[in-house]
Amino acid sequence: MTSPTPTPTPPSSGSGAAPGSAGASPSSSLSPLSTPVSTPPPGPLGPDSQTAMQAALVAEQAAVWAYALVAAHARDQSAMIADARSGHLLRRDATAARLTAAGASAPEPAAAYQVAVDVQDQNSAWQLAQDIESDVAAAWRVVIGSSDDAEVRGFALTGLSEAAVRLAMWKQIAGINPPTIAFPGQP
Amino acid sequence: MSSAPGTPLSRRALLLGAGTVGAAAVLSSIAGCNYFGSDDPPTPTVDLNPSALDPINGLIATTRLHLLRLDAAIAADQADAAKLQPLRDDRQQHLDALTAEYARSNPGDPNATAAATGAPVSGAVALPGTPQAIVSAVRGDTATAQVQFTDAISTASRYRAALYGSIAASLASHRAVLA
Repeated sequence: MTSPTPTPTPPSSGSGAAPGSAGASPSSSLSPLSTPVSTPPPGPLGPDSQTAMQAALVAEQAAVWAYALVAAHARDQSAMIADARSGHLLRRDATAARLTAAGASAPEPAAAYQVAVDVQDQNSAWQLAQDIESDVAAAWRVVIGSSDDAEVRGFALTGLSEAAVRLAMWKQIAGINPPTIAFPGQP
Repeated sequence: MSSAPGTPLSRRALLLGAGTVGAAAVLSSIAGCNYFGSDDPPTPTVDLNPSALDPINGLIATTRLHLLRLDAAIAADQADAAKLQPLRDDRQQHLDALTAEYARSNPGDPNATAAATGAPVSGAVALPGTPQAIVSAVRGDTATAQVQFTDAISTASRYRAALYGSIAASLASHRAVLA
């Protein structure tokens, strides 16, 4: 159960984050999917955090691509899919901007990605959506643990929290109980 | 303004001398009251148990308290018990992970072993009377904990930061479920 894996040029492992969740900004409301993403102030990235953030960017790019696949088979959740995809787009761009500001390269998105779920119907589309968010959460969790910089950690926590919230929502839609997990992103 | 030996002191000289001595006395008394005036070194209070200063203790305490409140909420609000129970299970896992991390990083603390065994949380807490208010209270606890774990990420070690980040994200999902 993995989320999309880049077919052409698989950068390092990773997943992306979603925008605007309650994690990094405690004062934010309970509508994490609609919170705008702000690009953090530029600053240097250590080697570990740079690699981890590049992997997170790849995961975000894959999430954007894979949600189009979800949308084709889960039409009843079109609004939520659009919201999630929009969130990943914002997070993708913010991550690329953060990398560029640090003088690091931002990997280009692949033309297509290989997914572990054979999406044929609504249920498999829901499963793919959960996989997407699980992988994105894992990637941002790695970013948190790869840096000593509070700003980088906060940036990554937002992505991790948003992915955790979306994962819970998809589980609720799929009727999975419990809808939450204790340690999102933890292998 | 000194006088030759044997020469009687003038009144002006006497007044000036008295003023100087007085000023010196005042300064000396002020210095005596000054915090830095004593030659004696301050006596610091030393906590011989550094593990007591571990910031993870506050997170453990908060999680324990919220577990108590979740238990009380589940007992008092049967209508929402099915929704609250999974959240309570997550919080128990958070507590277990936190106490295990405390024990790992404070091996010399005799309390760490006991804490890491996942001793059951017990106690009595007061909750509001209506189901709606109970869920609202649980939601407030979750938000409070999320803030604490988010704040703790800034200064924690990398390992702990990742752990706290996961817990904060989990709490964000709890809030979404409770919304």
